[in-house]
Amino acid sequence: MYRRDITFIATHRLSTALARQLERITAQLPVVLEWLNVTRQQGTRSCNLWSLLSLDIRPGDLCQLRVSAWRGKRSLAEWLLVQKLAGLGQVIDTPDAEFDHSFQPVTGASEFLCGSIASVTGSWSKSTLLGRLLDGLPAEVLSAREPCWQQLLAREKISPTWVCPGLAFPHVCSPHIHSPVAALLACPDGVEWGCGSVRLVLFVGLPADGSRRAIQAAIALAQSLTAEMPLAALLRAETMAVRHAIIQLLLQPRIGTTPETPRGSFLSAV
Amino acid sequence: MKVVAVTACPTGIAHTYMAAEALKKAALQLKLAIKIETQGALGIDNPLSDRDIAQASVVVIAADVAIEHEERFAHRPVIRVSMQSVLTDATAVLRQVQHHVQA
Repeated sequence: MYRRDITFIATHRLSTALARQLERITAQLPVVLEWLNVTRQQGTRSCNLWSLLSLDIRPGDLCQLRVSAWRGKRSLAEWLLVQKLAGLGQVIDTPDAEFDHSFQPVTGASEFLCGSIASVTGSWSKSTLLGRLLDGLPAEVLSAREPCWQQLLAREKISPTWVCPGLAFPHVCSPHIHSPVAALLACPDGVEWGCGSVRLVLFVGLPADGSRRAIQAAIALAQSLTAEMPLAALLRAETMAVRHAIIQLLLQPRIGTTPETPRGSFLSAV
Repeated sequence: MKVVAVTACPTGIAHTYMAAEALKKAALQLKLAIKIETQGALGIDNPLSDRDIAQASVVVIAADVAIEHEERFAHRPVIRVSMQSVLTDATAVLRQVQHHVQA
């Protein structure tokens, strides 16, 4: 079975006319599709008109389409879908070799810098990988690697920062970090994290005297990692450009979280 | 059944809130009433009142560090769980809590 995850930023609303075209095309293709609107927490495995409209795709939404097909059937299906998606949004297709890994401010949560570190291959231990991650941070962000590394290791010793199969989320508040930062590191060969193997490490660092806004952004990111859809999109992402776009989105407040509990009351299902 | 919970982790910017989120979702799924106090980098949020604690059938402490004001729960049934177990399967954790209370 061949799988491809196409991620795009919507530039148009998914209109009834386009949804109808997609419904018609996909009905004739020998593929299984799964749609995720990561921004609005909507997803569907069905491609009928109403399911597609329920995705509520609007301009600016980050969406992902998983195409599963038997080998040999993929080219036409993928080509047709990418053509159709071009009418809906901008497909993120920058290959890792061409992606700008440098640390840039996150739009909307401007205190955060977000970037990535070139993938590592081969056999790595958790501790050496964390060291590699800190080595990749810009000098203006991290002024002293060793104490920060020790702090990360001490944190991991209390309990591993493993989130789910495939993803770890090490984080630290340190006086040696001078700007809130989120960094991605891919390790396609897998690294044992104490509870299971991970292939993607998402690091968040905050200054010890980090602002409330920066802490809130880090919390929003952490909370969204408990939601099925952003997590699935992040783990399915095929390139660093896509992962980067997802993290930028998740650093915005309150994406992918359950409704706020009314203060002072119990949250209960009706 | 009403549950009150406290979540706390060493850094207080991630697992405290991830565990709270996971417990909220699991409680909704199991149709349990829950109130969760987070003790993180933003301080104590959504604090449990004496009334909340008195009304609850059980107190769940999901923490990898010592929590603040634990003495409040001295006369209530308390179940301690690891952060990892909550993040791995919060529904299973709350099911165990249910069984414990009903036993």
